[in-house]
Amino acid sequence: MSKPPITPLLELRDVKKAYRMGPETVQVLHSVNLQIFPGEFVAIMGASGSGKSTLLHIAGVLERPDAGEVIFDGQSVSNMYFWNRHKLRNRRIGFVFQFYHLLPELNVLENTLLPAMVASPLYKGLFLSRTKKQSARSLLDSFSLSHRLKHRPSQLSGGERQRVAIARALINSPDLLLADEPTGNLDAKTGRAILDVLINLHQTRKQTLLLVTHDSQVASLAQRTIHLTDGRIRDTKCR
Amino acid sequence: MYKFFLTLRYLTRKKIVIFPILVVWLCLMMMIIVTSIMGGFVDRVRQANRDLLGDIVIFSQNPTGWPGYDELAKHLAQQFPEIKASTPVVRAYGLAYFLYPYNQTVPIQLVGIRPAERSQVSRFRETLFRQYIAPHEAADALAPALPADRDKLIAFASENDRNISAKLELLREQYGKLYREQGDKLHDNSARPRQFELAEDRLNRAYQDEASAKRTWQFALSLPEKQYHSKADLLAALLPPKPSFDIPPAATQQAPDAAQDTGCIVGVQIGLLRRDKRGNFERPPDFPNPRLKITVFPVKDTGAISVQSGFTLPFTVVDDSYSGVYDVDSTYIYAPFETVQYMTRMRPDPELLKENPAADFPPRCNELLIKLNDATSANPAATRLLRAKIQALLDESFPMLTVQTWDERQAKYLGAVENEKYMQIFILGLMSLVVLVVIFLIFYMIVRDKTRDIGILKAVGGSELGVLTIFLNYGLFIGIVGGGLGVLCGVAFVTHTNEIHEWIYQTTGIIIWDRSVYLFDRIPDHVSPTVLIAYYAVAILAGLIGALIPATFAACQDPVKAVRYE
Repeated sequence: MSKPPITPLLELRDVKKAYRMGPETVQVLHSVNLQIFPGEFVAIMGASGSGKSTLLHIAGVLERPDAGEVIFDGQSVSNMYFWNRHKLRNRRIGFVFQFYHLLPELNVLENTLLPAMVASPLYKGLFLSRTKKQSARSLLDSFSLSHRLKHRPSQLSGGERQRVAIARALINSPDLLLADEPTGNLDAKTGRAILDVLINLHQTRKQTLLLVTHDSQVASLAQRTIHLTDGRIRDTKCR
Repeated sequence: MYKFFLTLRYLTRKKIVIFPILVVWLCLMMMIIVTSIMGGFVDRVRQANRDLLGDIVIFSQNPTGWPGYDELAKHLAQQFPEIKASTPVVRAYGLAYFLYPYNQTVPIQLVGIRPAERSQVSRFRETLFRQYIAPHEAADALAPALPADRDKLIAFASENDRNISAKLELLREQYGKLYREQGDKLHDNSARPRQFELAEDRLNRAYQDEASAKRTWQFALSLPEKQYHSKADLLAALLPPKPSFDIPPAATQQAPDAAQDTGCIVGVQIGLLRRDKRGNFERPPDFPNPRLKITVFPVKDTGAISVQSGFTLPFTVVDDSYSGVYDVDSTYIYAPFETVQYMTRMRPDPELLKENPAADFPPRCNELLIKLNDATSANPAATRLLRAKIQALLDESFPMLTVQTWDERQAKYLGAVENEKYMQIFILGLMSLVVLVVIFLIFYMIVRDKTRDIGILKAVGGSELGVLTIFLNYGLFIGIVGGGLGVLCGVAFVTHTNEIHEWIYQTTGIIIWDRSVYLFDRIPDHVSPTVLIAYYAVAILAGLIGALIPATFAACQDPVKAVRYE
């Protein structure tokens, strides 16, 4: 008896995207086809302007493609109602940005809990479950941030901020973690530490990871590296 | 949940929120103050006009009036059960010459009324100082001594009078000392020390108190011998049973000629009484009865004044009336209805009739004032309907008569006052617009400042509606808190406005509102609950509307662009 074929967690079919830049239209993605399987660690590499961030945003349902289809866990995202798209983004996808993007008014714990709060309706949210708070604490503890729970982002170092951002992305236990140059704003040592966190997540939790970078050293840590040039996938290398 | 949580965090951690709250707070407070004080004046003017005329006025365009008014009143009362009371009025323009020590002539309107009937139709009785206000003042002053018999009340009033006189003496001494020390500056207005103003004010008030205490004592002396248990007992003994033009015996004792005079009631602003800056009329402790001669010029059918048949009669002032309507208080002299009819040739001369009975004609009047029952009177639509019915009835038999409601009759004055009200609404509307624009601008700044946060929120699954709700909650909070503070401070200011005014006067010597030139002696200090609810709702709405466009802008932002926003 043969094994059933594995369904990709994320699939992009003939995805095209163009932006208007004044009078001109710039084609950012040309018929991109991509499949990410559960538990996979994929890196997208490319020079600046190659379309890798746009690809990530489309993969993360933040942006709609002009053409083509995005399929998440077998379901076409294009046909989803907007509230289902919000729900998908909130429950099943986690984002880590280059510039951390923490809310300055919230402390570390609150920033981490933000997606959980978005997921909770008011009547439940007022008494946000202890389990959720506990999991945020242990997540932050695992990132060595337990002593920073009440600190605001402005009181943290770059590495600490990025770890908070990763904790925030993981609070709802997403199926897919998207990271847009997570080390791009950090020094080498701190950047390495952040990569260790991500690799550790991938290895211990089988976290599916799609990481955008232009650093070949970072990309070399992934199981699969996709090279993007001028909006086209040039080649794919597997480790 | 995040919407409320983030709203709370933005509110507690963004100091900029103070500014829209401050704007809503101050604007609402200002709106409440302006509306309550200006609206209070407007309401008082309207009420004073209503109190003057009753509910409906029937009048003739013909200056010589019309006959059969009593029959008409009776007929209308039978036809319309809503009519509670009615009274005829006759009026004429003339000149009043006040005898020594006044020696002044003033233009007046001589108004012939039946005082008891008039008091049933309007609040005429309540405007009379000697026959209503002073007895009430005395009953109030004597009330603390109750229960008491006449002797005890006299002793109480006398003791009170002595105390006030002693206080007055002390103030006189203080003023004298001040005069001796700085008297040279007294007549130099530019260098006039403020102590003079305040000392004069204290002295003035003490004089008023002394006059009132002396009047109370006189009233106590006039009380019949019996036991008094309540203020109502006192009033029953002190108030004349009905208002009248009767000349008091004291007046004829002082001036025997006054026995031949006719009693009259003068408007309080006609020039006999001085008014202090607090709006009080300076009345002497006793009740002087100035004498005057009134000349009226009857009007012919053509509308022309008959100067040759000018008619002069001597009168003695028996009371003064303070209606609150300036035109009335400054020009009206009330006299017995039949006397004024006779003076204006609207009733035949009895002497002439003896010689020539053929010269008889039915007496005439100019106006018929009508008071309706309380239910109809309180309902303007019902009043207007009844007016129309009366007019329809009169069109058949009295086509020369016009029927108007009290506000239609006084439309000339009330129209001006209403215009002020509309102007005020317009200005308040502009202020609301300013509030909206300020909230809009501040929110726009906040949204610009929070652009990246909005992108992050959307990236973690926040919806457009969620983002919209955050900023609308923010606006709602600003409306609720700013509006709440505005309501509290506005109410506190309005209800204490007279005290605040007094404090400013005592501290700086500045009188912002010189009551000697206004109709009323107190700044309106009542806040209508309807106005408060309406303004509070407007404040909340302003917060929401001001936030709506920036909130919509925030909600519709592209999350990718927002995340990339620098």
